[in-house]
Amino acid sequence: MPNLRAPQVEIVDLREDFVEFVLSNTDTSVANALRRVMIAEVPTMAIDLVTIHDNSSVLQDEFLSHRLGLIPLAADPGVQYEYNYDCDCEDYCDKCSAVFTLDVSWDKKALGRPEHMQDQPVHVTSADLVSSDPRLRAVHFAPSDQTNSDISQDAGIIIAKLAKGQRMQLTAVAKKGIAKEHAKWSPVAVATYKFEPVIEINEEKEALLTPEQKAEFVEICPAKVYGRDEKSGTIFVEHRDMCMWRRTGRYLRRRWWSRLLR
Amino acid sequence: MVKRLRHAMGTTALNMHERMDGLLYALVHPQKPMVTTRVLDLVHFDQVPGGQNASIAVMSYSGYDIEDAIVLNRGSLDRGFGRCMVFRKHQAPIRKYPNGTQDKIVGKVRASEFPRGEDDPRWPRYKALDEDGICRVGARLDPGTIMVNKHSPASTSGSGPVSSDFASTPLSYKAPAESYVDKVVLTANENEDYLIKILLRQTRRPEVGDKFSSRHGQKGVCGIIVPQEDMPFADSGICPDLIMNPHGFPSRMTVGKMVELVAGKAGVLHGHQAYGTAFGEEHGSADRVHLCCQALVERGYSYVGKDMLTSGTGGEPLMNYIFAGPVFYQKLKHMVMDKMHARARGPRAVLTRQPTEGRSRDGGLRLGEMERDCLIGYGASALIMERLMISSDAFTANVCQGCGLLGYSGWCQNCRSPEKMADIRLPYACKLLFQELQSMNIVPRLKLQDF
Ligand SMILES: [Zn+2]
Ligand SMILES: [Zn+2]
Repeated sequence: MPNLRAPQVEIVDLREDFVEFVLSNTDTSVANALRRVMIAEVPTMAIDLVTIHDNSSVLQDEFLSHRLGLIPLAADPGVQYEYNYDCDCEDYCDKCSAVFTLDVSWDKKALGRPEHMQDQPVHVTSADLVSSDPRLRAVHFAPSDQTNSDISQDAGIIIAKLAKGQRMQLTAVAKKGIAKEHAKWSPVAVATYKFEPVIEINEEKEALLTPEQKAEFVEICPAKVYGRDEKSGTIFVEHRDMCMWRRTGRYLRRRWWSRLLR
Repeated sequence: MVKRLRHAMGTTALNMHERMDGLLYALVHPQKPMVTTRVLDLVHFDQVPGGQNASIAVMSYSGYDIEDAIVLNRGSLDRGFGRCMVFRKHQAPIRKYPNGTQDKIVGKVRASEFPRGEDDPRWPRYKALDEDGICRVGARLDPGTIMVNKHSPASTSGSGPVSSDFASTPLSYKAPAESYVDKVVLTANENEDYLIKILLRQTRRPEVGDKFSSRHGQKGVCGIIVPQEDMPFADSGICPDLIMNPHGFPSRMTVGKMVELVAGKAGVLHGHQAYGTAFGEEHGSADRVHLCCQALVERGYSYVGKDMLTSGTGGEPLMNYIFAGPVFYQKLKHMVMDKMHARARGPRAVLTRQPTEGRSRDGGLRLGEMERDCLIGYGASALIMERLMISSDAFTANVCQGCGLLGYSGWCQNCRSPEKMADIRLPYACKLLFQELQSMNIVPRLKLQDF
């Protein structure tokens, strides 16, 4: 019986935008609770209030506001905002929100471009959002060590395209919230878990196989879970985490291979 | 399918936003379908798409999905799945009348013109008006707001001295939910009257009761909207946008939908648009099911298109493999917001004094013959009396107990006497019938009895 009060976490991989860990000595309910909280209850910042001053683009104001809301915002580590509804201010203030301004016009942007690109549409991206708070901005998709070195790697999230003569000017207020209210406040793209499979190879039956059959067994697994020892020729489990036995089980079961596995 | 396509919303034409259609439905984020066909290529459906690629799971979930109802993922709706815009045109002609008079538009009404300024209850109606007395582009219109502040002359016919009196005849906004002004056009009609056309825009996210359909005629209304964390998920983290009940398959035999799912899933995994046409295999353009299955296996999925899903609420793996993958879904224009209706008291028809019929006339809900039969069978006579008379067209009539005819004000004109008059309650339609019979030389006589 696992001790539900003492689950163990072993971090396998940790990057700026990714974490993988092994959770053990606990119950599935704990894993699921973690997953559910990651999806719906971790507070983040997202654009919530948009005032459009000028919009002659083809996208309607509501369309634009919706797209702005979905842009992920990243704050520096340790930066804390108040919830707008808990804050003492009347409307919004620096403690509970950040104000983004965006002002893009085709005329200004297209001016500096080379001749052959003059008539091309101008892209309005998340990089055009200017934050009132330097600690909060739209996310970059290039890894942090590359953001400044190579601009083309991180052109920002496209919001709209402007044709000749069009302009877009707006202010957007970002507030703190959780994804229970709207999915734009969800901090994760995916949060998921899977069960580690236990794979045992029936050695008695393995011994009955010819080397060709063993090679075929290793080859046929679509996820390449198994490996073969070069010298002795025995089958061993190489990539246990890749196993999709449940998914591919039926496929394998049609062949006699499945008998090899207990 | 043709019919359902006609009801689907999407891109009607490339110039759709330049036009002034009476009613236009547009999807906010339309997508080209994951599985296309030869015909769709011929009509360039990729450029004028009419739906979105929903990631679906064919399973039963919660019981709110019986009878073709579908379960929607709230996270997907937040991200724009099924979000649509409704454009509606309103117009106000500025008429010229035979006596030389003409309608006029009165310019901006200011809050200061009202005794209590901005707090005045009459002021919000005029909020959207611009300097020219027509609503401003981008203005929010709440129910009752005036769109065109039009005034019409008091007398419009005859000749002689023309009165300078004008009465307010504004064009006002009546729908229950708010809209925004998208466009205002000043033009003229065939009678050379000025015409003001106003295009209003409404953005709607799907709600319970909205209708969706795949391209195989598998329509269904949304039965429940479930938070993303409650939806089942695959170990890759994918969770469905939409859950469809498997009972829709056996009797409908929509094999095409299953093929679309498998082909679409293979296409997604291999990064190309799949081809679903049933013809032209020799030319090598169509995707064949067994090749799609092979593609699935190559990427480590089951060849039947089924995945192992984990329950989002309990956290345990589901007991069955779930058929899941992308299917192109269309939003149909039958939305509850346009259909919902309720009434307590309200307008009545002049002739019968019964409540009017239909949502557009704020009508009552009919208690029909079958419902009446149920009440009779149950023996709820007082309820029948209430529904069919008291809440409908109850009328107090004067009846003469001597001759059995209707009188009025306690007087029988037939007997020329007030002596034997009595009051009875009956449906107005019944009294109307007696009078209509009388007009045809048939005399219905009422015999009254004490109860
Ligand atoms: Zn504040
Ligand atoms: Zn009489």
